[in-house]
Parts: sequence; structure tokens; C-alpha cells
Amino acid sequence: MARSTFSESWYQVAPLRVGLLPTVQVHKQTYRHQIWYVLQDSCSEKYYRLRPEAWAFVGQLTPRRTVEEIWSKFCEDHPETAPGQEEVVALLAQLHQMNLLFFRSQGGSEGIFERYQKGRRKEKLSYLMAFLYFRIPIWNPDEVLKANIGWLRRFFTQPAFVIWLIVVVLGARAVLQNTDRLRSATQGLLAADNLIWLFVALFFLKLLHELGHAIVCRRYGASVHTIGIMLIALMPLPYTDASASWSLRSPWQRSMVAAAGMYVELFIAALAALIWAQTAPGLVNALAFNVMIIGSVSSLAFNGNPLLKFDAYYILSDLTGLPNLYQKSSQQWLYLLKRYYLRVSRAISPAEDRYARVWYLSYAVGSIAYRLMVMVVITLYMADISLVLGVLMVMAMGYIWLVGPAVKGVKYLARNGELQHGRPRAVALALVALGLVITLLAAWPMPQGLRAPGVVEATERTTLFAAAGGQLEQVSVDDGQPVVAGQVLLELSNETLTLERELTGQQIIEVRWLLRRAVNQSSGDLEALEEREAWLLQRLDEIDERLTALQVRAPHDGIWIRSIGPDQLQTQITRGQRLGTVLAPEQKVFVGVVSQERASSLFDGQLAGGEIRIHANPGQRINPQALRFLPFERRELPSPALGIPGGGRFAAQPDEQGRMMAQEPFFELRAPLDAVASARLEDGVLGTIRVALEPAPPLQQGWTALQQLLKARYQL
Amino acid sequence: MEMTAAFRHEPTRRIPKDPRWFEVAPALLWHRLRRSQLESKYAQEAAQVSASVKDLSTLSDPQLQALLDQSRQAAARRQIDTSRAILCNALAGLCEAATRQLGQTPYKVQIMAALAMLDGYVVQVAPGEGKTLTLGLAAVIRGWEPGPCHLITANEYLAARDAEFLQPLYAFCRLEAVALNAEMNPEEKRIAYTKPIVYATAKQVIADHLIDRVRFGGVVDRIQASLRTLRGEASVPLMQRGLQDVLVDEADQILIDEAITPMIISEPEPNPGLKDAVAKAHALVEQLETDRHYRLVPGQRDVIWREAGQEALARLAKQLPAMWRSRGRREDLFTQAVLARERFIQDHHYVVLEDEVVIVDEGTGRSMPGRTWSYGLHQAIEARAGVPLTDPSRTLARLSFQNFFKLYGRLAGASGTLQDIDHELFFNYRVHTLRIPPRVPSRRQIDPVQMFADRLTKRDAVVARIRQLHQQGRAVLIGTRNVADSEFLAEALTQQRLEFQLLNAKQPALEAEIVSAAGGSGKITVATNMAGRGTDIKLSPEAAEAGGLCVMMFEPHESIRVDWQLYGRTARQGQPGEVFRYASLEDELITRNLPRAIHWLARLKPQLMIRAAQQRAERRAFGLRKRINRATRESQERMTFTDHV
Repeated sequence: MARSTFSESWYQVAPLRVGLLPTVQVHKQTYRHQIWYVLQDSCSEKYYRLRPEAWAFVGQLTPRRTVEEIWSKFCEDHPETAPGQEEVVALLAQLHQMNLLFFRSQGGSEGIFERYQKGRRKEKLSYLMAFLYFRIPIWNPDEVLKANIGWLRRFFTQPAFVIWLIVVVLGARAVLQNTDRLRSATQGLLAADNLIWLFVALFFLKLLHELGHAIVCRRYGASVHTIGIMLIALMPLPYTDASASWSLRSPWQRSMVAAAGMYVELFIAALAALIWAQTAPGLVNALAFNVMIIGSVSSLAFNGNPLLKFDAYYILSDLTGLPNLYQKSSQQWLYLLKRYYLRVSRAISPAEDRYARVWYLSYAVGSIAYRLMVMVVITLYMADISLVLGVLMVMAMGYIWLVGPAVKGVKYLARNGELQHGRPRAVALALVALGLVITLLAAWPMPQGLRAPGVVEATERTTLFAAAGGQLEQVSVDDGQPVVAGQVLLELSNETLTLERELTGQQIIEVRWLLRRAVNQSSGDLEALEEREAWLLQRLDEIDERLTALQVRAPHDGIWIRSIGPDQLQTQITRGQRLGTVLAPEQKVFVGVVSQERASSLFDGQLAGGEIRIHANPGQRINPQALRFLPFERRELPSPALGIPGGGRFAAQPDEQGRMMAQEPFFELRAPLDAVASARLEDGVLGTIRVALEPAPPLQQGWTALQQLLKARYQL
Repeated sequence: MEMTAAFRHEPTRRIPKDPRWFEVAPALLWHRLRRSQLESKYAQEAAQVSASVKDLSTLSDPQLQALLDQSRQAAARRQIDTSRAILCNALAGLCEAATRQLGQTPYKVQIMAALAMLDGYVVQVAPGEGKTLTLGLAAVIRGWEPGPCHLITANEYLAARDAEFLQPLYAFCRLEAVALNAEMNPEEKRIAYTKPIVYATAKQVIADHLIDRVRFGGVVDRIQASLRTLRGEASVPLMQRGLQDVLVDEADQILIDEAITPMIISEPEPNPGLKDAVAKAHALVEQLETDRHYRLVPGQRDVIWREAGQEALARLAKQLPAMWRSRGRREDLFTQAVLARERFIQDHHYVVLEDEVVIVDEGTGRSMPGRTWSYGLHQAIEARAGVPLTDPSRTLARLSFQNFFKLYGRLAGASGTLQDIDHELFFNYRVHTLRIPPRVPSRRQIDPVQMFADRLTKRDAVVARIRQLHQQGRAVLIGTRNVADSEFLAEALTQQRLEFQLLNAKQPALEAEIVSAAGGSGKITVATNMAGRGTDIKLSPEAAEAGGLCVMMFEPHESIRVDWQLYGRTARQGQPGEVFRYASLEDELITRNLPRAIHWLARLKPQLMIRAAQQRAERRAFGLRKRINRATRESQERMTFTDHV
């Protein structure tokens, strides 16, 4: 009786006359076949859920009688189900906390004010923390919605749904038929000149999305009082407060409200897809394309993802009948930790049964992993915009993922009543766990790897440049044809050179004549003439050489990849111009490109092995037998595709000879491929090489990665 | 015309929030740095006061009184707080008045302590240096000021004694002081509380405060009272006129050690349904067995039900009244029945007197008539003891001592022992401690701790030493932690045919007499450390000649303060004295606060380890008090819709 039937605090409650506030509305709802009563305060938009037994008592509360009287009467009427005093006290305190209770005492008015301020402070703090989700309410659409709901609701009827379905199917078909166009267009999606249109489309779509929520909410009879602008990652987007849908009785109706946004967006996206497929490139086409992509991808990836707390989450929570799924799922893990690690026998599981338990446990894993990933991506994105924002984000993340939980944990260990009898042990266990984690992170070597983009190259390859300028006369070998050493590949002609040879030949004859005469006349010019003859002979050799070079021959066996084709016949080729490459197909090597910062881990580390993946064929993995790191800085990228202009990662520009030169020097990793792989892989195929480095503890790895990131991005 | 509460009641503060750690640590550090500076400041002011006292000796009584009247009027205008000069003048006048009316001239240290208390410090004064007069000086100033001043003493006897002793001084200063006692009726108390200075025990003041609350229907509030008057409602007769100033004697004991005990005002409430259920449960519990049906939680008054037990309860519940059949309630009911059977032992936890269950305090062994266990448990125990069931008592109001003292506007106090608690005092009451140096250098000789392996060898050593001291004609006082120890020791002394006096804190007035006689030559007195607190032990000339009173500490206490309360019994006011300290590895302090693994260290370095154990015990106790207090506060925060905050 010390526990619940009688309460030490009862004397405080017994003489009170309290009731529910007149503004409180009660809705009966069913969650997973269990009846709940949802109390809604229409002024403060707060909700509180009660079990029927509790509601039976709360419903009796009236300021006309004291709590004591009500309770005694209730105990007489329902002796078995009546709540104990402790429960009544807790219940009233809860209702009071939610500002649902009407009472007429003044003792605690200061306390109430204090609590209100505390709540406000917390709210502001959460704004500050989540500057990503800052909300500015703008307009109360309730009246307008009420007046127009008659025709607006038609968009959400069964016939409308049939039309919706047809349009969406048609839209999807249009996209499927145009996949190649789609692919090329997607690459320009984030191009700078498209960003403004992208945003316009996004804003327009989200506005319709939010109106969708509002209309459906209104349609089922719940009112919507706020539409406004929300700043998500500094981007203004519209939002609606449709929390009134909470009061809807059917979970299906609640889910419909949540799904309405995506419903609208997908419809618009499908329409846009049809327009896009039918129009030629231009403004309309570009807009339609943007709308299509956002309406489908963003709405499915964010709103349609139950792991984030957007629409799909609420749908999931309604349909599974597990309200507060997110909070409870983390509580469930905490419970396991407390119950089975800290051995807190008083810990209470938030799950009532197996069904809820399984949901909670699995949801927590998914959502935490996903949220972490999204946060990291957002952080990197913010850091790219500005270093300050990035640092702020990192701090916010540190707070959310490390400091916050740590403070909570310490508070729990230091104060929580659950631990009253095992506190030292719980603290010790927590410290042991913490120590273990830190030790593992700091001392346990984990395999680590380095990924480098790269390209397949033939080992023996010669790029040919024009040794002499001239007119292209003949292209003897087609592109990609095998050639043998000495085979003529191209023929150039150079009339000037031929004429010069003629001239030089004549000059030699002339000199020889002069020489002969000089010998006969024993004149003093003899020496000078001999000199000139030698010079002319030398020049002739040179010219001959250049004439031979006009016939471009394969230096070795291989395949001829030409840079100039038959379309350039009879055009002038300048000296030094790139003509093409002869490469030997049997032996190929994968060249990985490692940026300066990341190369540091390769200099001293042992290369423990690697794995190559080819982009075009992700399933294929190649394990090279040997791996060599070339410790020399290079600038010429092995393939233009590795530079940013070619879609790669390295900032690079072609030089005047057409070679792709990286702005920052880099290092090469070379992995010779075996005969099979060499035969299968074309020269120039892109891929990624993953090098296994010597295992290192995760903390050390993280620190190195951070240093590299800072160095790479901010030259710190 | 009787003034309504609206006019005469001082507004009650709300219980302030606990300070945060970043407020506490710097404040303590700052005070620690300032302490010696403060000390010399007060010494200087006290010297000034002492100097001006000499000038006053030529004044006639009416002249002196006129001078004091001036100070009184200044105080009534609350100028004494702002002007140091007026305060010093007032104190000088008071010292002269004390000389004439009490025959005691306050020493410089007493003036220092009074000044510090008026500045809101809790002062630590050397034992035997006249705390009563020191508090009296401060009380006069506070009494002159408008608003009530409460002087809290350790027990009623001391309240009456101090009030009587200082009466001439108060009268001379045109002040009235009364000592409250429990026998007074509400009307007498109401009149007593109108006096400017009220001597009372903490228990008394807080009980009266709570009764006022119950009568008023919530926290007494001026606005509320005014509203009621305006509405024409009959005014509620209240005993107190609010809480403004309080001076606490034995501040550590009252503000720290007893601070979390809640004071509960309750009344019996007929509940036939409960009695019926308890009686049934008492009969049915015989069908349940330990370990098969339930498990007792060691060290706690709680029961964990096993599956078999829960099944059995479901079966047995059918025989209970309907109200008690639901799962939670039937478990509660049977839990108490089980506890009554297993955990509460007749004559140890309670005694049966005239068909009534009377609770026995486990610590002191005193029976506590009027106290009851919480709802239902008391009835379960009555059923067990086979006496008629009483009506369960129903709580009307409750408040912990700690939170009560936080309600006062100004808190100050004095004690002989404030070691290790400056943190807790500041944390709870935002007051700092200040040590006032002793008037004369102490001639107390404290012997090093003697550590023994077990209690028996220790007792033998103690008895041997007593015999030796007795033969030297010295007076010996042996302090024990509890009654059981006293008796354990008494047994050995009886065997040795040594004549001794045995007393425990049961009758304060009689004990004070016995204790004050303990200073005779060759006297042996065995006492629990609470017995006769606050009483001087007068040394007979022969005993003083033989080396003064020997205090023997049978066992170190949980806090060094209690140790020092015992040491303070000897070598008072420059007299000689010696302290013998004993400890064993079986002592509670050691077993509870030091891990077994380092007990060997305790043998090697007893002094150090006892200190460590005491500090640990003090920290633990503080933690516990803090937790309980926080739990109370949190529950109050949730209950802001009620009137009892």
C-alpha cells in the first residue's frame, strides 16, 4: 500500500476540486485493438492518451466535488478497477503538466509560470539546435479551407484516385521509354544554371504537398491552423501544421492525411514527366524535368522514407498502431541495456508485447543508421558552402550524437531512482563498457582501406606524336585494328620538305663541283667548301629522317587507337600533334590515382592487397597479384575521365597538347592485371581500386581521415 | 481587535532552488580565500566594541537603557543592518547590560561570533565558550528588528534553560522572550509566538508551522489572507506570524544531521474496509512461504513476488473485499502482511503497551509513542501483534526540516563542530561557515587513535585504561555511539566492580544533572554521545588537579563533528583535559565505509583511514540527503496545482 493504493502525497490532492478544462475534447481511438482516449486541448493543441480505466476516472472529475469524494465514490462503484491513490496523483500531475487540468488553487501559480518558462527555454534551445528546422508560421488557412472544402475534397475521392493512378502509370511509362534522355539530362541536374529552377520547382511542389495535407485533414473534419515557411538546411520551404489529424479516430484517416502530400507530388511529377517526354529541350522541358525529378525522387526518398520523421514515419506509426515509434524504439534499446547489462530490475520496457518489441528494436537500428548517414551528408554539404557552417554542423552533430546522450547517461547514473540500490555497480559497469569501447577504438586494429579511382591501361603503350608537320595523305589502319611493328599507320606528305630535299641535293652537287674546281685550282676556298658539304649532308640526313617520319609506323605490336581520322585527310597536321596510341592488348595494368593528402598513408604503409571494381560492371571484382605505389608526383591524368571535366574527382584541365593535367599533383598506384582480366577489360575502362592498408585502430583511422579531409578541403 | 494574518504575517518565501555546481564551487572557494580576512575584520570590530564597553561602565542603568533604546529604535527602522557604527554601539551597550544583568561580560570571541551571525554566517566556536550568551546577543538585535526571531535549540530543556538564563538581559533591553514546550495549548503558543524572541526546538516550530498550514488550507499567504478578509470570511486563527529570522544552536545537528527527516502532521481516519482487508490478509498470509512465494529484498522493506506467489495471491484475493482484489492492491496488501511477519520483530522494532503498538527507535532504543508506520503497515503489524486495529493515520501536511529552514528570510547559527559540512550548508541554505578562534589556547591533549582487531580486545583495553585513570583520581567520561555499546561496556565495568553512572538520551533534564556532575574526581560516566548535550561539566578542583576530565571515545563516529562534540566535553575554557580514542576493525564506521581489502592499512595508519572513512560517510550522507530532497522537490514541481507547495 506504500506503493500505490495509498499515497503520501494524497493529502495535497484530496481536498482539491479539479476538472478537465472546458476546451479539452476527447476522442476515442483504437490502436492495435486497444481502446485509448485522446484528450485534446483545442487551445494549446496538446494531446494526451489515456487508457479506458484511467479515462473512466478522469471523466468523473468535476470541480463540484473534491478529488477525495470522487475517488471514494469511484472505489465503491468500481472496486476492482479503481486506480490507487498513487495512480490518481500521478494522473493528475500528468494532466496538469499537459495543461489540461482546470483547478482553483493559487499556491503554485509561480511554479506553473516557471514550468512554462522552462518549456519555452527548451523550445528555443531546440530551435537553436535544430536551426535546420526553423519554422515561421504565416497564415491560418482554416477559414478558406472550410469554405472551399466542397470542391477541394474532390481531388481525394475514389474517381480522382483512378485518374491519379492512370496519370502516374502513364508518367512512369514515359520515363521508362526515355531512359537514355533521362540519364543525360540528370547529369545537368545540379549544374549551376539549373539550381534556381530546381528550387522554384521544389518550392512549388512542396507548397502543393502541404496543401494536400491540409485539405485531407480538413476533409476528415480536423482543422488546420498554420501554414508557414520552414528553413530546412537554410532552404526556405513551406510547411503545414496538420497535427490536428491526431484527433482523427481511424488510423487509416490519419495515414491518409500523412500520405496526401506524396499523393499530390507524385501526381504532379507524373504530369511533368508526360510534358517532359513530349517537349523538345527548352525552358518548359527543363522545368518539367525538374518537377518530375523532385516530385518523385525527393518525395519518395524523404517523405516516403519511414526512417526519417516525415510523412511515411507517421503512416507507419499509425498503421502499426505504435504511436511515438521513434522515441519508444530508442527507449526499447535503452531498456535492454538497463535490464540486461546494468541489471536494473525496475526498468520498464516500453513495449507491451512481442509485436511492439520487434518493431521498436528493428526501427531503432534502421532509423539511427539512416539519420546518421543523412547528418553526415548534410554536414559535408554545409561544410562545402562554408567552413563555419560545417564546424557548426559538426558541433551540432557532436552534441546530438555524443554530448547529449553522454550527459543523459551521466545524469541517469547519478540520479535516477531506478538505480537506487545498484548505483555503484551500475556506474562501474558503465565505466567498464565505456573503457572497453574506448580501448577497442584506440587499440584494436581494424582493417582499413583506401579507395582510389583509376583506369585500365595497356602496359606497353606508345602515344605517337607527329614528328614532322604535313598534310595527311593516307590513313592506312582503321581505329582499333591490330598492328605489327613497323607497319605504316598514317602517311603524311610535306611538299616543302620534299622540295627542300631536292634543293639540298642540288646544293650538294653544286658544292661538290665547286670543290672539284677548287682542288684543281688549288684555291684557298677548299676548306670552307668542305665544311659546307658536310653541313649539307647532315641536313640531307635530317630531311630524310623527317620524310621517313611522315610515314608513321607502329613502334611495336599492338592495337592502334588513333586520334586523327580519315575526316582529316588532306588537312595539315602540325609537328608535335597527337596522332594516336599503339598499345599492346595482352598486358594491362590498372592505374589508380591517389591525391596528395591521401597518399601519405601509402608512403609508409605496407600494401596488404587490393581489389579492383570496374564501374561498368560493379559485380566484377579483380584481385591483382601485385600492387605497386609509385612515389613520384605526377600531373598528367592517365585518363581524361578522372578529371572533373570528364566527370571524375580531380580538378584538371587539358593542356595545349590535349593531355589532361591535374591541378594538384597526385600519385599513382599500379596493379598489373592477369591475362584473363587483360583480355576482358578494354583500355580506358574506369574503376576503383581499394587498397587494404595495414590495420589500424578506428580512432587513429578517424583522426587521419579528418586531417586529410581538412587538408584537402581547406588547406589547413 | 485581533489582527488578521493578512497584517501580521510575514510573507513566506518559496523554497529556493538548489544552486548549480558552478555556483557552489566558486562561492566556496571565494569564501575560503576570504576567511582569514573576515576573521581579522571581526576581531578588529570586536576589539572596538570591547574598547567602547569600558566607557559605558560609568553610565547609570537608566542612562544605559536610554542608550539601548536608541539602538532599538534604529533596529526597528532596520538601520542596524546598514550601519556598522550603530551595530557596534548597540553591541557595546549590550555587553555592558550583560555584565550588569547576567554578571557575565561577553568575551571578544563572543562578540566576534555575534557579529558574524548577524552577517548571516554559521559560526564555529570553541566548545564551552558561552554559545548561549553569544546567541543571546544576536537575538537581541534580531528581536529589536520588526518580525519574529526564532531561536532553535537541541531540546526543550535547553530552550527553557537558555530563555530563563537570558531573561534579565532581554528584559533590560525591553524584549520579551519565551521558550515553547510541547504541553502548551494552541492559544498559549499563539501568544508565545507574538513575542519578539521565541526559544523552541526545531520540531516544535515546524509542527506549529504545518498545523497553521493545515488550518489555513495550504501555504499561509498574505495575499490569500487579505482576499479572504475582503471576502468577509472568518479569519483563521494562526499560531505563528511567519518565518523571518532564525538563529540555530547546534547548527550542524539541526541543519544537517536531522535535516531530511520529514515532519508529518496526521490524523486518524476511520477506514473499516482497510481494517477488514488487513485482518483477512493477516490470516491468509499464513498460506504463503518465503522463497517459494516471495523473496525479501535484503536491507529494504520490500518484497518481490515470485510466480507461484502471484498465482497464490490471485487465488487468495477472492476472499478479500472487492476493493483489494485487483493485482496491484492485493500485492500491496500481502507485501505488508509479509513484512509484518518477517521484518518487524516485537520488542525490537516495536513494543506492545496496553494493547497498543509503540514504535521503538532502532538507533536510540527509545520508544516513540504517537509515531505510526505508514498507511496500512501499522495496521498489518497490529494484526500481527494481536492488538485491536487502530484507524490508519492520514497525512495532512509534511515538510522536511531542511526545506523548512530554507523558508526563513535570514538564517544564522552557531555550533562547536562544523567540520566537513561547509559544502552542504552552502548547498542547502546558502550560508557560509566561519571559524571563530578559541579565547584561550586549548589545553586539551588528544591521544592518537588506538586500533584493535575486534571489539572485545578493544573493550578490555578501554576498561584497563579506565581502571588506571580511576586510580589516578581523574574524572572519566566514556562516549559510545548507541545504547547497545553503553550496555556492552557497562557489563565489563560491572564485572570489574568499578562504580559508574550509565545514561542514555532518555531524560534530558535529569541527564544534564548527571553529566554536569561527571567532573568529580574518580567519577566514571558512560554515556551515549547525545546525552546531556549542551551542558557544561564542572570540574572539581581535585579532578582538575589530576589532569582534568578524561574523555574516552569508544568508537569513531560517522562524522568528525560528532567526534569533536565528544572531545568538546573536556578542556573547556582553558581547563586541562585529555582525550583517548579507540577504534577497532569491527566498528561500523570502518566496516561500512572502507573496503575489506584495505583494512590492513587501517591498522597501519589508523588516523588517516578513519578520516577517510568519515569523509566518505559524510559525502554519502550528503548524497543521500540531496537525493531525497530532490525527489521531494521534483514531486512538488509536478504538483503545482495543489495548495501545498
